[in-house]
Amino acid sequence: MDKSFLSYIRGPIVMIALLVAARYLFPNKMTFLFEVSTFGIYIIANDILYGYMGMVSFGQPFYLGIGAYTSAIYLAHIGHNIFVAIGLAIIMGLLAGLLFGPAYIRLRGDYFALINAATCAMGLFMVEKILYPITNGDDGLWYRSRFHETPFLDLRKPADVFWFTMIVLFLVLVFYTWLDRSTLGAGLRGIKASESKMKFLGYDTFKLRWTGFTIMTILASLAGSLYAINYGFVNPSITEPARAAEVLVATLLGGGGVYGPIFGTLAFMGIKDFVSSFMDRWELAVGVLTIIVCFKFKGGVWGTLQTIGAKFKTGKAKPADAVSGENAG
Amino acid sequence: MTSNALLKVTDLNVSYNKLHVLFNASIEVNKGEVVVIVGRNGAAKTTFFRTIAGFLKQDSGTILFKGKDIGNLPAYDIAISGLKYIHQDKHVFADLSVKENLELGSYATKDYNWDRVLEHFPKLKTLMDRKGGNLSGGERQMLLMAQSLLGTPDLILMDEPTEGLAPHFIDDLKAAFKKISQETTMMIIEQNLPLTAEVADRVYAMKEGKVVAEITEKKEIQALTFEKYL
Repeated sequence: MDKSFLSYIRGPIVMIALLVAARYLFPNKMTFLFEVSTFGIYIIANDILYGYMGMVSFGQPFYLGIGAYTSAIYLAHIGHNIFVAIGLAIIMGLLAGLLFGPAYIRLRGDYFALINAATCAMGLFMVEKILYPITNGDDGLWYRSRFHETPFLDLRKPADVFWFTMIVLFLVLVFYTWLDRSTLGAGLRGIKASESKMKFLGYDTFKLRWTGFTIMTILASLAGSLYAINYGFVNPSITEPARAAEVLVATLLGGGGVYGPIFGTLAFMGIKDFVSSFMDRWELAVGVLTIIVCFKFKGGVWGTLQTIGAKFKTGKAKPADAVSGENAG
Repeated sequence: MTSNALLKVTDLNVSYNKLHVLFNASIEVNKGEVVVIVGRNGAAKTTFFRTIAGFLKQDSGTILFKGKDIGNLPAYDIAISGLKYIHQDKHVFADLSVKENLELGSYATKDYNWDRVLEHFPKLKTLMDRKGGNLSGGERQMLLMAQSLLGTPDLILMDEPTEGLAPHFIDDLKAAFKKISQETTMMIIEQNLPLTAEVADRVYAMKEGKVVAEITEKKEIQALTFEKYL
């Protein structure tokens, strides 16, 4: 495998170039593209948990909410520097991983999924009720007017937030490319395949799972922070446990691999954006697509594109699992 | 029996909840030996290996490896200390390539000398980019052995390595066993008695959870005298 520096940045550059091109081709879709980018980071976070380690969580909105509320609370009550707000969200994501990880990753399957759901429900209760004095409960926090100008890119302006988000997404994709090819990534996938085998090889799988879990919480928190900065507003709906299904569906639609989460996000948000313009219950279309993917396209959007690409390249398709197996959920 | 054994297991008892399955099992493995455990299905051979490798906890008894009690160590610590276990199910990481499978073995042991390892299994050199899931049973067994040889372990436990393999793969593995035994100690569970006769320096026979016989004479091993204990 090509492990030159260029090979790590080539794909992310193409992906960002496509998003930037779309921004100019469809100028009225900038918000949509911003959402695809932040939601994409959120789905990458979930893919580490689900696609790599095979752990399903029904509490992902909680980790997104940690980043969103950390930045929001800082900007609404404490400071004005957006970069500090993002830095604090990353630190809180790290602390969440270090704090919850050792307890939660001991659980498997249903128990892991449900303890995260329970945590998410508690998080919602906290921001709605217990932390009401600083979160404003259901009314949410508004703080856009408190933003100070930032150097290079003025993050008070949505257009600059878009560019900033592109830079962050690029860095996340480079990191994700590295993870996909690294021994750490192989180790996380090894846990999904056979934790016992990893122990036979001499790996402390507890530490590995904890590392994967903490990377997930950091990235989810970062995505939440970007969301909070772009909209200048956060309310408890961001941490609603019911929204955990969105993350899982988008991850499933993407189908794993470095770019699966972005394609999964595009599919999910695209349907939401397109179908909702003529039909209230856009979830119906997502549901139907998810069923089709589960039965017919287990490699998801990215896996299917890779299969088609391989077909054109070699004249015959690779077996579906050889493609989707990369780290598909 | 020598006192400076590489592995010395004494009076090992193991239960699954209240079901007692291994009874006072005692064995010794000396450096450089190929020790084969034989026994019918249900004789608790795999339970014995899994306990030594740290995947099951014993009720009583001691497991000394290089003179150190490893009875309470976690499996990964035992592996890093130089005792590798190759499970019976030939489970490689199906989604990872052969190369990535080896990288995982290397990272854990910090041993990246693949040439030394692949010398025993030259076929793997041609399969580096193939996914583990697309390998045949024999190729998987080779990959597992190559992976376990990384880090130059002192002792490799192999649970029925030839089970379900085509005859030509068994011949290849037999040749590999002989070469590998010159650089490391091996303990093998094997039902293939002619193969056992050919490679073993010492044979332990197990029956119904007990070690019922120890055969050290090469002539007796080659004459398959241990068959009467099975």
